[in-house]
Amino acid sequence: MNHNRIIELYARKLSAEATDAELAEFAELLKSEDEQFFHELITSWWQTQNNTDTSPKKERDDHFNKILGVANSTNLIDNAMIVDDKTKFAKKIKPFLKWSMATAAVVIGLVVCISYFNNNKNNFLDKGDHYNEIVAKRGTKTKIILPDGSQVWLNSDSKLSYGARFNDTIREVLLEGEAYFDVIKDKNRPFVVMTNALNIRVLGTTFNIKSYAQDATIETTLIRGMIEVRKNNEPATKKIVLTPNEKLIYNKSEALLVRPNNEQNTIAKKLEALSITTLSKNIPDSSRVETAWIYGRLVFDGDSFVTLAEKMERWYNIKITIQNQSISNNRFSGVFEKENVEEAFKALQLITMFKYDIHDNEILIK
Amino acid sequence: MGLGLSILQSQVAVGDTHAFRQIFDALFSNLTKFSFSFVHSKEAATEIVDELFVQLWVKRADIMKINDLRVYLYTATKNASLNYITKKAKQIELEPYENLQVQMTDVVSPEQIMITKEILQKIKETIDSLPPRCKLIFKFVREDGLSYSEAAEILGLSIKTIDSQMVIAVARIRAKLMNVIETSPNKIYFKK
Repeated sequence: MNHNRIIELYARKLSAEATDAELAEFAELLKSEDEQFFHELITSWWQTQNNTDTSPKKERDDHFNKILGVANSTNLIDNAMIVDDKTKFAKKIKPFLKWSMATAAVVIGLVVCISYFNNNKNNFLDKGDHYNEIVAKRGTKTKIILPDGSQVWLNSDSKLSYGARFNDTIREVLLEGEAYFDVIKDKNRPFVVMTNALNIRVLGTTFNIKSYAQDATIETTLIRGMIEVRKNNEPATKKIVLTPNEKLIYNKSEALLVRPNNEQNTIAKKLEALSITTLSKNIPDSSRVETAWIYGRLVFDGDSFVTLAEKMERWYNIKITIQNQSISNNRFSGVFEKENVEEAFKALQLITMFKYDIHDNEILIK
Repeated sequence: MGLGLSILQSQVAVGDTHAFRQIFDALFSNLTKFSFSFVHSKEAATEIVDELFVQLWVKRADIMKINDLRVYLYTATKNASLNYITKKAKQIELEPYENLQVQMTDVVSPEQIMITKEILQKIKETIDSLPPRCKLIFKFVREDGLSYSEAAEILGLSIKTIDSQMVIAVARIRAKLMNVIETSPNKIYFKK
């Protein structure tokens, strides 16, 4: 029957598979008005398509560079090893190559790089002679591309260090403060983030770690992929595996009667040393407390004034002294994006009653 | 596209990152969607295709040995994706095209005003209701711009199967739209 034949021809014409004879046959069959209309409709629909990647150019650039970074570092290491077998001279070349890569990475990050010699501060640093230290001071944030192409966003008042042999067999970094990691996958060289109590082992994934020395807790939030968390000094302890959108909170002081950030909770909550919460999937990364900072947004969600003040101290590089104890228990939710310090405090004044004085970078809450 | 790709291929062979970037832009998104139809996870699909591009660049010296780069990349994506899932569940290996979750690209604001939202919705519904294998083939031909023979080679099916699956897809869309055309009260206006 005609109908079946015409459909067959539609399919071939649209797919550009029809022969000239078929095209002629098709034109013959296209007689009824409705058929012609359908033909116009499907042809224009067929051509309307969004074939290209719609992700922002920046994102695609980063993604592409990441791939190139991994591919190129794979190359370098393979070459270096081949040379290594042949001559001892290569042993000097190899560290030089790595060293220059590491240096390049730090220059890209436009951050402070200090290299220490024979500094045995931490066991992972023993393996190499140098290590690199990247610091984001209070009131600043920075982004680093590591020698393997992994990207790290470093929040205010944070420090990331890695040894000269970062890329060899295991990719180890030491974190003090808060950082968001987008780690390039390399199953042969696991990526390990060490904090002062936990180490977090990953293969290739995206996650945030908050581990400020003065905080009572270490928080790890997994965005994509999978990570394993272990306690530093007890390799025998069971690892904890996080899946996406899970947040692990670890209490450093195992006294268990923890009042996070010295908040004056009316009920002193007895917290577990470890707890895992699942975050809502429906919130974009740019609005989540855990990740908004990399988008330049200071998000607070039900924070007490004390906690908020700590966050603002780091964010704006200011010192806040709270004299007015009556507001320290008030809880605040909101976002600061472009606001400067004064605008931020004016906004807070709309919510709650307090007065403040600013002298240089010191703010007194009255 | 086919010719352009083989030029880019020869540029990549001599280490041209811009050419590599063009290949990446042209194919990454579609390959990831293809991988997704097997692995059902955006992260896994991205990782699989990432790895593929890493290997492509690492072994760029050998890239000219590849006859049809596009078919090669799709086939490699299929194999890597099947490897990934067979590690998880053996039985999928037997019926590789029956558990697909094909992601179609959303058409963004059609320039041709002829196609109303209503029509778009009907087409989308129809395509979404196609059997997985049929949907994948349809997507290959329309969105990825693959020929019948290329699609057949990638999927390990005959050209005849591709042809007949395309006919099924078009027949369903036609039936649905003819219905709309015939029942539309403002048919004349609608046709402009």
